[in-house]
Amino acid sequence: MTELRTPPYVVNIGPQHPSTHGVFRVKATLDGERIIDAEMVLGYLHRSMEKLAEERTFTQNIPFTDRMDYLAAMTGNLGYCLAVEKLAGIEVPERAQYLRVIFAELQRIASHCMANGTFVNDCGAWQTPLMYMFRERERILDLFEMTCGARLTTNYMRIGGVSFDVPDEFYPAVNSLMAEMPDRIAEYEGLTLDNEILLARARDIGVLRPDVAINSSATGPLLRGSGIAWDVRKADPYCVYDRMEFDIPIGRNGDCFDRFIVRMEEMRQSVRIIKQALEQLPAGPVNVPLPLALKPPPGEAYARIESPKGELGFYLVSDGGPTPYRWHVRSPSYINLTVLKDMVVGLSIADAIVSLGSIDINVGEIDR
Amino acid sequence: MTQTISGHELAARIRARFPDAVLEEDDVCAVVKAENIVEVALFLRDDPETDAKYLNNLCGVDWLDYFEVVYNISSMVKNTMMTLKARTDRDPGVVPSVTPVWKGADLQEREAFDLMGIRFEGHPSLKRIFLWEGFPGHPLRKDYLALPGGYKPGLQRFPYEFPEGQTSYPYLGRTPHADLMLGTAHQSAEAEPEAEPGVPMSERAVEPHAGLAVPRGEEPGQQAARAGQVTDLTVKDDKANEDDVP
Repeated sequence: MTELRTPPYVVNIGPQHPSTHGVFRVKATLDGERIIDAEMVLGYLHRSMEKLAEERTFTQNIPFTDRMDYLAAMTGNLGYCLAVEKLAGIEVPERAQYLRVIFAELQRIASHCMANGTFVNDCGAWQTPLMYMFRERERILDLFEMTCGARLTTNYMRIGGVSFDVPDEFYPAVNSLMAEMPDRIAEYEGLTLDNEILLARARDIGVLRPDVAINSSATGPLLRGSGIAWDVRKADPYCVYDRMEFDIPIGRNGDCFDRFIVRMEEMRQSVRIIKQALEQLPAGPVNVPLPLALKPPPGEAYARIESPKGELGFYLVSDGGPTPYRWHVRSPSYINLTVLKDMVVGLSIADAIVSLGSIDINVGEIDR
Repeated sequence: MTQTISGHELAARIRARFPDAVLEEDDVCAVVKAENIVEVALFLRDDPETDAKYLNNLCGVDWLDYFEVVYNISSMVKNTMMTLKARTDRDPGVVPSVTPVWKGADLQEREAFDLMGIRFEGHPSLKRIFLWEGFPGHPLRKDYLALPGGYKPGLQRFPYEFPEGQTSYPYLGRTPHADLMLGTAHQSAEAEPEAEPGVPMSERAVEPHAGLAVPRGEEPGQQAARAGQVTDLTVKDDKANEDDVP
C-alpha cells in the first residue's frame, strides 16, 4: 500500500457549533484525519465583569456571578458570598448555611444532568438520555423558582445568608424528588452505561494522566476522573459540609468515560447530602442585616468552593471602600481548558468533540 | 480543613534558601522580586516541606505604582495553602513566566497579559486571549480610560450616600410610579382637589395632548386627509387600478 501524504490543513470548530457548548472556537490543524495542533480562540462572550465589578458595590456584584456559569448560578453566588464574608469577617446564621448547602447540591445535580446529557449527545446517542435528565433538572429549577422566583439566574445567596427562606411547599416537593432521585439516576445509568455507542466513543479517549492533571491545575470531575480524590468540600469544608457524610467518587483510567461516571456518582452523593441537610435543617434567621454599602476592611481574601465544574475561587482585594479594588474569578471551566490541547492532539475531530464535552465547559464562565 | 501558611512562615522558608529574594511579608502573603519568581516557585514546588504542587489561582493586581502578580498555591498532600506574590515596576511590567513550574499558569498568564498588560517572559504563546489583537490598551489597569483631572468614568460614590452638606434627596414631586412602589396612591388621590366634583371619572372631559394620535372631535378620516402626501398616493394608486380594469 502506498503511503498518501497530504499537507496539513486547518479546520475551524465553532464558534457557532452545538458541540462547543457555547460560543467557543478551536482551530484544529489536521494531518489527514488526525489533529496535530489545536488552538483555542476565546472571548466571544467576554463581558469584562472584572472591570465592571470594580465600579459596583460588593452586593451589586452578586448578579454577575449568576451570569458566569449560568447552568450553576447557585454555586456562583455561594462562592462569591463566601469570599466577601471571609474578607469582611461576617458570621452566617446556621439555617442559611444549611440552605446554601441544599441549593448548591441541587444545583450540582442540575448541572451534572446537563453535562452528562450533552456529553451523551456529543458521543452520538442523540437526545434521548438528555431528555430523561432534563426531566429531573426541570423539577430542580421549579424548586428554585418557588424559592427565589428565578430558574437560571437565581441571585439567591446574599452576603451574610440567603435572600429568602424556603416556602412551605418546598419541603414536600424536595422530599419527593429526593426519594425518586436514586431510581432516576439508576435509570440514566441503565440508558447509558451499557450503551454501545457511549462505550465505543468514550472509553480510552482523551486520557489525562494524574500528574499532568495536577500540574495543569485541573479541577472537579476532570481531576477526580484521573483518580485523584480531591474535593474542596472534603479538603477545605465550607458552610456545613463537615457535618455531612458523603464519598468522593474517582475514576481509574482518566478517560472521558470515567469523567462521565464520576458525575453520575456525584449526583448520588449530592442526594445523600441534601437528605442529611434537610434532616438537620435548624430553625432561625436566614441572613444577617448588613449595611447596603458594605465596606470590608482593607485586605485580600481568596475563597474557594467546589462548583459542579470544579474549584471556583474568588480573589478579592478591598481598599476599605464600598467597591472592591480587585475582583478576580478563578473559574474552573477556563483553567480546565489548559489540558485540552494535549488531550486532543492525535485524535480525530469526532473524538476531540467527545473530549471537549467530557471537560464540561461553560463559556459564560470561561469568558466572564 | 486546609491550613493556611502565613506570609511570615513562607517568607522565612524562602529566605533560608534565597536570602535576597523576599521584598516584603505580612500575615497573608510573602512578596518576592519578580526576577526571582521562577526559582522560588520551583523551590516551593519541589521542597517536601512546602510541596506546593498545585497552582490554584494566578492574577495580576494594579497598585498604580507597581504591578503584583498573585499566586495562590497549595499542597494537596499536606492540605496547606499559601499566597506568593511577585512585584514588578509598572513600566515595563515584566515577570518571568511560571509555566515551566506549573502548566496551569498558561491560560491565567495569558489572561493577565491581555487584561492587565503584564508581560510574562518565557511564556510559550503570550497572545491576547479575550480581546482581539490590536485592542487599544489593557482595560484592567487602573488608569485605563482615566480622563484629565483624575476623573474616572463610573460610579463616583454609593448612591445612598449624600454629598457633603446634603442630608436628603431634593423633593421632585410624587410620581404615579413612586405611588405604586410606596403604596400611597390613595394619599395622592386625596391630596389632589377634584377638578369636576360629582362627575364620574369615565364621563369627564379629557384634555387633548401632544401624544394623542387623533385629536378630540375629529374622525379618523379627517386626520388622514390632513396628512396630505400619503393619502394622495393611495388615491392615485386606486385610480390607476381602476383604469387597468376594463
